[in-house]
Amino acid sequence: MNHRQPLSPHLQIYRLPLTALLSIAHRITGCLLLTAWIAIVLCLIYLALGREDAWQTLHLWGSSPAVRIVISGWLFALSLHAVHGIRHLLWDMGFGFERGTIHRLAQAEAILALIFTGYLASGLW
Amino acid sequence: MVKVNMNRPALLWFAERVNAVLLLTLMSWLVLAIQHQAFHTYRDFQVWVADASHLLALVMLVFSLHWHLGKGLQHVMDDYVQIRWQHRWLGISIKLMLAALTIAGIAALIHISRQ
Repeated sequence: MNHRQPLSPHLQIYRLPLTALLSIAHRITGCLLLTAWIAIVLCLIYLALGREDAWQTLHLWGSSPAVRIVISGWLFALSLHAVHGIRHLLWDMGFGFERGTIHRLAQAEAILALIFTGYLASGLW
Repeated sequence: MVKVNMNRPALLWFAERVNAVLLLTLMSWLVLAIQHQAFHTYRDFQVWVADASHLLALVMLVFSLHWHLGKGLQHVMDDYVQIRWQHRWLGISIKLMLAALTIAGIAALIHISRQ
């Protein structure tokens, strides 16, 4: 008889449910938002020291498409992180654990995050 | 009225949720304020920051963010960093970095408000 150690599900072939993917995304977006916070603090320091000249320079940087793409990415991270955070708060109050609801909420969360990103990023482009 | 005795971990858990709600509220306020306020010049921005209620809200946002980031990064670190010395040094580095960001952020905001 061939005795083999049982294996955990292979991540490459095991299809993660949307809820699990959003949970992973919540952590990734949290780390991305740290980079946004570092950038914001650096901009504030630059403004505090440079005043009007720094303001003009930041405006110039902000008008470049590459910077706008990065800011849009941060806004998406903020939207997804915030919406998933609200879902966590709902879970903490005991809502949304039913089998059907949990998947529908995950779908609603992804759609809402995209809508919020579109709304926030519309001011950039 | 029902009295609930919360031990320290439960109190911390509750405080994290209260802070998350505060952060959501302040972040929504900031996003709406930025969208509705036309900052054409540095002076517009400076006058807006110098308003006492705005400055207070911004400082609260920085503190709230500091705490939320600290707890969040601690969770991620606890889950993925298993080697003890790496965990310890990464923890210290994160705390120092967040403290530096918070102090620098608040100092910059106060400096801008006083110009």
